[in-house]
Amino acid sequence: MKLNNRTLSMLGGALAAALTLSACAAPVAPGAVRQVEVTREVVVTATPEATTPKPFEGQSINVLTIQPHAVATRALAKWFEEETGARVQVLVVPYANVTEKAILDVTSGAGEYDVIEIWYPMLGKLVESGVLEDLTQWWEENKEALQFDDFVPSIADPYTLIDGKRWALPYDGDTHLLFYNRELLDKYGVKPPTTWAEYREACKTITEQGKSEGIYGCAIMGAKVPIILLSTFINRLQGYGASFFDADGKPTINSPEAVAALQELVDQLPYALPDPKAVAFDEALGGFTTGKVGMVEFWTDLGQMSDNPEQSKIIGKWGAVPMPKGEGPNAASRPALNAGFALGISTLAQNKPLAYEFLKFVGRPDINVRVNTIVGGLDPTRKSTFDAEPYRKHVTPELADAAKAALSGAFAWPTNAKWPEMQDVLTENVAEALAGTKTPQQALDDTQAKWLEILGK
Amino acid sequence: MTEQAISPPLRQRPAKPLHPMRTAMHLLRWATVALLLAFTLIPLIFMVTTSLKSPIEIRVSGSLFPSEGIFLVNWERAFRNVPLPRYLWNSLVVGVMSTTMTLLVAVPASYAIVRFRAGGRWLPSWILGTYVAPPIVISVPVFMLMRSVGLVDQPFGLALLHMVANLPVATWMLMDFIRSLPVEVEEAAQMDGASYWGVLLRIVVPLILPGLIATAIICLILSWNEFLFALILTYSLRSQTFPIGISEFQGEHGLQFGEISAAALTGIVPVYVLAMFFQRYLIHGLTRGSVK
Amino acid sequence: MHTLHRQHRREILWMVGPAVLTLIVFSLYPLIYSIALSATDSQLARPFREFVAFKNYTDAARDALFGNSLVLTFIYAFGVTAIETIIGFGLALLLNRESGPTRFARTLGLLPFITPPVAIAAIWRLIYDPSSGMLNHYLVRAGILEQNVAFLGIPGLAMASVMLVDIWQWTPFVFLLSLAVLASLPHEPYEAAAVDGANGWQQFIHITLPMCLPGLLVIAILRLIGAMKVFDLVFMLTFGGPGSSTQVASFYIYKVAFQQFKTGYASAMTIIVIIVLSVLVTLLTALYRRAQAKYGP
Repeated sequence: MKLNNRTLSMLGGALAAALTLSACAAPVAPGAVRQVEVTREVVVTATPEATTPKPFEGQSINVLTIQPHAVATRALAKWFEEETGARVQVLVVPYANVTEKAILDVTSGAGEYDVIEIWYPMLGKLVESGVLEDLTQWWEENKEALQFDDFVPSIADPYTLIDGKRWALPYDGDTHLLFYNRELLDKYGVKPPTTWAEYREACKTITEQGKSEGIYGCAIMGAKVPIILLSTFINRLQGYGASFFDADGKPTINSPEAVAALQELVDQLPYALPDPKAVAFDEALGGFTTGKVGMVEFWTDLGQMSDNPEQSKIIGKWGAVPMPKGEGPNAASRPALNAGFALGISTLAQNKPLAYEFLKFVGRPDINVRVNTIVGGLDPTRKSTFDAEPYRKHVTPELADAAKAALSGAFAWPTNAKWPEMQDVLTENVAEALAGTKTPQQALDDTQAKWLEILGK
Repeated sequence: MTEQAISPPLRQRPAKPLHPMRTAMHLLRWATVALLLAFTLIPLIFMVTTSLKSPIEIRVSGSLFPSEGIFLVNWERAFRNVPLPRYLWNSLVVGVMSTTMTLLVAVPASYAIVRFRAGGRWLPSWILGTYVAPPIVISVPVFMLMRSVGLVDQPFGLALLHMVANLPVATWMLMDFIRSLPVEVEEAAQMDGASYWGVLLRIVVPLILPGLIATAIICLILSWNEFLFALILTYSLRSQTFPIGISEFQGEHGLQFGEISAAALTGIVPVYVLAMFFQRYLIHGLTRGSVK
Repeated sequence: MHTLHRQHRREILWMVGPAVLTLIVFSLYPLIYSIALSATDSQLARPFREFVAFKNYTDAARDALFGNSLVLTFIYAFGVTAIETIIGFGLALLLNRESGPTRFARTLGLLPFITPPVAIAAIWRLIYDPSSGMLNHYLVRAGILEQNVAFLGIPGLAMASVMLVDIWQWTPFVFLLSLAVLASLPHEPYEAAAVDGANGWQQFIHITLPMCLPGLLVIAILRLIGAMKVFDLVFMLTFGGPGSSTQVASFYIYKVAFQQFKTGYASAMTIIVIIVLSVLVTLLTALYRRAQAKYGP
């Protein structure tokens, strides 16, 4: 890439340079582009217009993606290559590190990435950091042709809009449903809950009777990772009708509703798969798909995993319902946009025209359906995908409807530039409440105070 | 525990050790070794068996051994989904380069520090001092530095950083080995007109060989397993090392435990073989010591 | 050896030159950069934004989470270093002889150290898993535990569990270096002792231990510093939880720098950690020098 032999020799001395050169001359493995595992469902047909000259032949871009989406992004890269003749190198990082990698790349001037995947609550921070191209104009120009109105309204703006401008394209629409094990619930005479209090009772009933056989009523993901712990907390927060800010943008995180929601979470802990504080994706997923756990709040694709004979013992024995409601005047069943990702273009992209072209490709309705019918880690972002026959067949019509219902009207996490710091403060305090080192009231009072300080700057 | 295993307590000494007593000590000694080895090996055996379990059994049962038969699916997938050989190759290149550079820099430096008090007390303390900085924040300016000389996403760049990171460990280990050498041999050689470099290469290096090899193995392994710099400084298969490759076994909502185990075992084998090979030298050095 | 001719001086310069140059470029520069950063209100994307003098330091002094993380770091580092040094050195003593089985055991003992930390964390998460973990599986079966325990979910226990993984991973480091230290011991003192009729225990107390002490101290110092910087195990096993019970300093600094992006504040905390550790290291190296002077050759 930018290897400068002279620099090297100066830096490392003759011997070191000799070593380097020999290393660089070493076989650059044929797998410079990784093999994509394309599942059975994908029929990769040769493009009919193979004879027409491909506009981007010989050009290339780098796409930064998170590990959980590696399969999907690589599939997209392959299809895009087939259509345009361009080369797409997919660069994968752990999801926890994606934001810092993007910021560091642009701040240092490296500019290795052309297209960047964004966890949407980080959008404001990335915009403030100067990492993302302003896509407003592009958005307006392509709105009609790519049917941007077709994006699920509740995600379209939170995923892309900061200060009235567009910065990204929705990529992975994530939300939670309450999944339950029908067999277990029937066995212990429990019905799928509609309120968090019912949930707690149901969980308690099953756990008290089943514990000796290793059966628990529910698994609660309480590991101290923002994307995990806050998803769990926000599910309850929404049920109680609490919000982060009032109409003037002043924090309201210690409102009575919010405290009640956290109290409810703390009250549920003793009956959940031990110990919620150490339960992350893996533990919850494993517990549910092996039939040890009655209920779990999880992303919509748990349906597919529960029906996968290779990892599941509960095929056909599960169901999903919307998030339970809380109590009080504002109680509602309102799902939250937990996780969720978008694609943006780096301000230092070395091939911007091609990056735009790639976004255009990913934004196409037919591609959205296609990429959501492989097991690649994505969930639909378009209304039309939920209604598309291939997708409904892929995930079952019931789940498609449930996911669509959950996504519409879902609550979006804040996306302002201060949010990364604020969510860390909240995570810290909710974790303290779970560990019992702070009462829910105390934890949220402390959060409120810290949030005011952060915003007051 | 340890000391008991070595020999009977001092106070009982005047009497000659009784035969049953020695047998007991012998047993105790091996029991201790066996216990510690079990602690060491059980997680690794668990890793082997996990790689051979069916994905569902991994979730269901904590048993050490697979009960539903042997499955090779994890191994097959580990190699199909992630280009492991490429990551291993990168790790090898980075590891060998950084270890070589570390020793080339550290051996003369530690010799000069010990024998000629180069840099006085200040230099060794400074070298050790560079080791105390938590690498997180340091990684930002280091990234900027590497980027300005075009060494981001280059095996050499990562090797250079690993050299810097391991230099304090290597220097301090080697200083101790050099210090334990009798100085007379070197002085005799110097009387015969050998240069300092000549003494270092022809006399000191052969004498500290066991220590040198132990240091090399440590540096190689530290580089082999280093995660943070590799994460920040690499972008693509051009330079990404094995630990980064391993972290790829993370699906949408969970780790692929079976595949991680298979992949990790694949990476352990070459280093283990290498370490075993060098252990021979370690033992050679040990017997050489007895002749000396 | 004491008359330094010009040519000899040049030779010595060439011996330490590369090391000094490397350290100037790669440690002094980042250090100065971090010190500068720590005096400003910096973000990851906007370094050196606004000069705030010592505000980050006074903030750190008042930050209860930072104070807590320092305490945890000390508990962690001293705990694992002590245990690893005792076990590692002890094992090296037991296996410091030539026979087939010893040689075999010796190479097996290295294995955990070779295992990539990501894989170590994954396998130990399976071992600790509260519902299907190996540890629970066997401890419950053996009747030691009445019911499954969430090893990583209970504050004090989580810390101990992470430390156990550290001990598993790093004892081989101590073990390998201890073997090398033992291998470099001269034989004459033992021969003299044997002539005097000293037994094994006396030889150990009066010869082996004193002569190994400087080397052992170096190993312990290196390990202590390494443990003070522990990051990957916490990152992959507990993410600092439950509560803040495993939130050691480098993990907290990571969160502030790369999750909150406050690099100015993170730099200030880094500098504080560096100062604290430097004091500690100075004390320990002084101890080492004394040991060296007393027992060294």
